[in-house]
Amino acid sequence: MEPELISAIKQTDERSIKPIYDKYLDTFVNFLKKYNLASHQATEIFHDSLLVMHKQALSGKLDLVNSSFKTYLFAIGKFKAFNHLKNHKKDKVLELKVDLPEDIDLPKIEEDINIYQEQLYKHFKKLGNSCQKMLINFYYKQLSIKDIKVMENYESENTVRSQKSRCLKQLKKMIKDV
Amino acid sequence: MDKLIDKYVKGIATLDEVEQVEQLMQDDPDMAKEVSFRQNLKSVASKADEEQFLSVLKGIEKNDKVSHSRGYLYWIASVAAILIIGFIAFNFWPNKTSNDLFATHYEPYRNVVKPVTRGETEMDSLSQAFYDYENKNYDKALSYLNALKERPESQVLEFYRAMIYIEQEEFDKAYQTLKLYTSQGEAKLKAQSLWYMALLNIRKGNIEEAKNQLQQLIDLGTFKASSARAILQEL
Repeated sequence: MEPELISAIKQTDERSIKPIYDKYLDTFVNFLKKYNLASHQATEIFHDSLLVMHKQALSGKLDLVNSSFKTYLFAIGKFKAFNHLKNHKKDKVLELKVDLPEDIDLPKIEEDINIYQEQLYKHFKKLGNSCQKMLINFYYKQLSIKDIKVMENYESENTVRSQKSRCLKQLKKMIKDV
Repeated sequence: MDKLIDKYVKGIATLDEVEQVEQLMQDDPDMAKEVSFRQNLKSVASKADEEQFLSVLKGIEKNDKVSHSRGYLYWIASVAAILIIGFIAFNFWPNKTSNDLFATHYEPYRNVVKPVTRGETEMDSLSQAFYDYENKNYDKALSYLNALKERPESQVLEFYRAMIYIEQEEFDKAYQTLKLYTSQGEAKLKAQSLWYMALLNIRKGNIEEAKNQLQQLIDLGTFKASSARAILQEL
């Protein structure tokens, strides 16, 4: 798969995602319309499929894929449309079962977060944007302190470490204060 | 200690470090609590990122709609002109469905001739051509291909020349090149050529010819047979 597209889809900002969005939206939506899906449903499936690509890019799965970005994205879209039609008992379902790339890792239903995590999530959302970004980058996107320093223009790696530590403390304090 | 916990939570600790953390967790409840907190934080950060990512997509969708509606007035003012252009387009350009089908299924064929190794310092013209092909520098790739007339791979290079012509939107030239390629002896990429010729015919509105080529692809059964079947149903 194209490395520059994998790198772009890993990001969570409009500047990186918009070129991909604009490049594939129309053909993707037109492609799914053939299966009796309305524009808004096809757009929703487009969003969900990009999310799957985002997650698989971050987990490193896309680095191992030979298909092109477009083929893989459309295959996920097909799979999601298939599930959608199956749930809504529409026809055309069988026609969708074609040509999925061999190395596709189809999205599974993910377990939701537990009750404790739900509480933690509520507090997390109250953190400032920079703290949220710091913790997402470090713990979920698995970026190193050095990566974060470069990406977010911090003065030094020590500044990143102290900022991360402050964010953790702030979150813990919020939980204690409840 | 802080670093060690993070390495454990991020799954990048060595076996020794994993054992060390697990021992510490057994011995010290505070340590166990801290590890559990950061593991939960990792799941929460994933959910937060997911929400932010979807919100970026919604934002793009919304902005696109706004810019479309801003353009609405201009659109009304341009209706007359569009109708005239539309009339001309209707008579001389391929229809939209054909173009959509082409756009949905077309992507340039991957390089199966010369694997390009990243970081290779000295490349011959063939490697350079495929390096540029893979990097979508089609003009450069074509000039390297043109410099390679007599080689054992020459025949198959015609196929890639056709791919480049499609990228350069020289569709007729691409079609003629593919036709010539498939007519010369035993073309290794015959099925692939049939696929692209069928797509080019669909794009041009030559549906009957495209159907014929798709049927040949299905009969060969080696490349894109199921896609060909799906397109045939749509046509």
